[in-house]
Amino acid sequence: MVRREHQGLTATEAVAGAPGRRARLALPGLAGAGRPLLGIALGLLLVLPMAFFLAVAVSPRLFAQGPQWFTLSNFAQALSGQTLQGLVDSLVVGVVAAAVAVAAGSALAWLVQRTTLPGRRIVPILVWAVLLSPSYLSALGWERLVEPDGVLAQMGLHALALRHLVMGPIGVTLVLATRGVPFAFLTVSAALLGLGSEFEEAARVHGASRWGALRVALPIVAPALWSAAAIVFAESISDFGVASTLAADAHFPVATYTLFTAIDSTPIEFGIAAAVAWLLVAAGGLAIVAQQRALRGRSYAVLGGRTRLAGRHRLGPGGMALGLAFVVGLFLAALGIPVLGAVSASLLKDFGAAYGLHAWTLSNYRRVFTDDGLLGPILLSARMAAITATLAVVIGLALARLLVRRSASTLTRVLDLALIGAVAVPTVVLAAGYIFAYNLPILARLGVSLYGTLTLLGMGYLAGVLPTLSRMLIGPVAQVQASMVDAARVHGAGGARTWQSVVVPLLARPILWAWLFAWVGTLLELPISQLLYPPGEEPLSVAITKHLANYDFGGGTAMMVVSVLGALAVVGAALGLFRLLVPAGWRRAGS
Amino acid sequence: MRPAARLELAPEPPAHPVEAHEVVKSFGAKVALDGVSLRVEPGQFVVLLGPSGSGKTTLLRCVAGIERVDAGTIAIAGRRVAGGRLHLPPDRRGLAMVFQDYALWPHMTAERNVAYALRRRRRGPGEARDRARAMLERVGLGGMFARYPNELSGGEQQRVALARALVGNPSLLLFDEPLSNLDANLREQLRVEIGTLVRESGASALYITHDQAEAFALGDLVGVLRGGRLEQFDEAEAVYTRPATPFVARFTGVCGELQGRAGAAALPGLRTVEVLGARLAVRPGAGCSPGEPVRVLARASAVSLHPPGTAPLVGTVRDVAFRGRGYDHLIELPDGTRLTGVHDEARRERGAAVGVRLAAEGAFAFPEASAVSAEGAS
Repeated sequence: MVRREHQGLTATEAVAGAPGRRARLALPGLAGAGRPLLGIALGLLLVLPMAFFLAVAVSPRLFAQGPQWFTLSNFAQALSGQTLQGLVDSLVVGVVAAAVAVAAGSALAWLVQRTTLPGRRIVPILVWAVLLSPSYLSALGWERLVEPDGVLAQMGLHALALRHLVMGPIGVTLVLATRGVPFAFLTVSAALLGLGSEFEEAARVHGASRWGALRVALPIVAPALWSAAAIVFAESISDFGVASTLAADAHFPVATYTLFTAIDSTPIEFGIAAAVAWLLVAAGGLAIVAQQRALRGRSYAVLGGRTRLAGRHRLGPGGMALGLAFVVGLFLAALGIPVLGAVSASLLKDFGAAYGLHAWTLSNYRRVFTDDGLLGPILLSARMAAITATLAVVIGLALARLLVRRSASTLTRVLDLALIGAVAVPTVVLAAGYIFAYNLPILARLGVSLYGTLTLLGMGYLAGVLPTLSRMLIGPVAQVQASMVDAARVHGAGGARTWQSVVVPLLARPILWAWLFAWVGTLLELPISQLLYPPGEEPLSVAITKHLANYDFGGGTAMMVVSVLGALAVVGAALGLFRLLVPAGWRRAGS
Repeated sequence: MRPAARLELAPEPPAHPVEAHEVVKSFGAKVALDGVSLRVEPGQFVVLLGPSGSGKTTLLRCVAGIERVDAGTIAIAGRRVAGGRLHLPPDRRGLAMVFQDYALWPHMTAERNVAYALRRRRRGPGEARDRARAMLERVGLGGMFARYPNELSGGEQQRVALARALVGNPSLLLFDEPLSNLDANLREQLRVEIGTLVRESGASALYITHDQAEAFALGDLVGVLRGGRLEQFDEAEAVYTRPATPFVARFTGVCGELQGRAGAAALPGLRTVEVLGARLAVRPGAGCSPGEPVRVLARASAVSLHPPGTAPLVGTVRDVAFRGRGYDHLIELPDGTRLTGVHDEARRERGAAVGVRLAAEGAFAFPEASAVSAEGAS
């Protein structure tokens, strides 16, 4: 999930940065009926499932889940025993991961933005690779490496100490921290870019040492650091990918997994799951509020035309070696080792066989392309992802357009709140809400039977991706200056032609990126797939985890590798076709 | 401007009159236009002048059809385009506009930006291209057809915007502070070009600005807006020499304000005012009754310096600045009133006593109460 990063930076920056009249976008579109339709769609996708699910925590009777109209007993149960342990673990892991990620991400940002470190230009690409790969892939890659019958063991290296380190709280925290580094890197980089050199120069001119100058600059970027910490904390406590793989296998309970087990085992405990959801949403919500507050007094205010780009610090041989070691180590942990774990496991014949040259095979990959059990989930997820991404971009554009309007109606404010609220909701909570709400007997009586269908899975995907996507699109939509549209209208273009000749070309690139973002995210999505897939129609992530759980390590990891390579190929092809096919001017806009 | 391909700029159909009647427009609680009425005759160049927030942009956008009026009517070429439930969209009003931020589409070349405005004329692509190129040459951008907006300077971008507005031979041209983002030299140059091209085209023009020099230089008629109301709408010379309100006088430039008491009528159109023990002849505004306290607003051009004892008023030089063609002085009168930018070819030293004379045609008396109440907005 990258939703908080976009919520924090793009949306706020774009809207706050657009001055006066220009902020009021007059994109033609949404006729009178459009807005209520949008409201109904969001209500069914996000608001009602969440509201019903959260309500059952305090009022089981309302949904025939127990005798009481109002009770706090679910919270009492959630705050005891294993679930309490899970919550405490989640909070501790969240805080430590945030601290580690901010320290590492800030160092990385400084190295890339302010020094002459060789290879600094590829760092942003690696950062995006980490950001876009789902957390369960990292966790599974590490696991495959160090498990008792993992790749290292196959090679005759029984690294017990490493296994204990990885398969426990430290491993969980470190994997989450490496996944938090991109958020810290992007946030702090933006602040460093905006900082310019004048503050440090002014300090130096007035007698401060290099260290003194840094002390002047640090408080100016402090809001970015706090903001990054809040994002990583919220991401970590709401993560399900690491929770359901590495943490679960290490018997280290965290809140999202205890929530999952409460509704995935009999008797189904919706009340307790909902209470855990409340506590997770509250913790995530607090982090989001803290982030918003940090951004309000934000360093980005120094961004402006007058800012001079700061010079780069020339690293000595020692500094360069240290910097390179840091960057290589960081990406080895975040990407290299998981990739190594997955790729090597997919190339091994049978786990348990002796290690040697004859142990290598491509048969797992052959199986992926011939065995329906392996190929089917990939194709299903690719199809679902394409439908989700297309719908999400259309609805996301309409939402973004509505949200950047200056004259906010009540409906607009409610939509905005629903989307920001959804940002604070972990995806596993959303999925749990779907199971609960769309399984209610009243729906069956109304003749609506969505539960256990691909339609509901698709709705879940859409609900999961929509808050982030609409936030992603707010920036570009707000940047389409109202005068661009006005100029087209004044010079004779009607509403439709204005969209086709001005708005779509200007937004083509962000629309493509948003589509790809939604497609990749949905293709590899885990929590919603895990909770909502119809029997017999397993999405990709579910199939991967199932094959691994059933000791088909080669098949599972080969699926991982094929799907990630396939996703990269699709992204590459889409960007390549964009370059080849669209008019030159379209590519120019926004670049 | 370079000599360019011959391009027929006459509007088709001929220039339109524009009439706004009691136009009201609010944004939430803020009233942007509070019953504005004006008429632009065919082929006339009208400039609306006012500070930011005075409603001039809103009025222009209402005429363009980008904003919807709350009350009142707007008619173009005698045909009502806004009023009541009627709101003709911008693309059906047959006009063109130059925007403050240029509003060039970044994904189109200069040529395509200009040709865009020709599509409604339903010309073939070849003819549209030829006309767009000829128009670009006309504004001095020959050879830059294939450039994208971000490859052009601010002045060049504004010329493309101007070409786009003119190329379709519109009957009505709207200008939304087109020069405000340019530096002083370029502004002057483009102002002249806009004036020439628009007059050549024969179209009616409505131009808004907050720069009084620009307004006087361009406008056949100048309207001064304040707080959503039209304070004065008259020929440029009349606005300067006979401002209707203290606000109009201040907004079009005064160098100082003197307090006094109205006396009897003097020469036709003038009245005496007693200021600091001296009797001065001034132009009276509405409501100046004998014996009442008045405020005299003086144009810098009406103040002259003389040897002490040879002029009705005395003052002390507080500051002097060399301006090339002479010197600008800051003069302080005995009651502390200051007159700024008082020009004289000779330099008067700081601290020196000088005689001060006020020419009647550049001194306007308004009742003290109305002058004070207008102060906040100027």
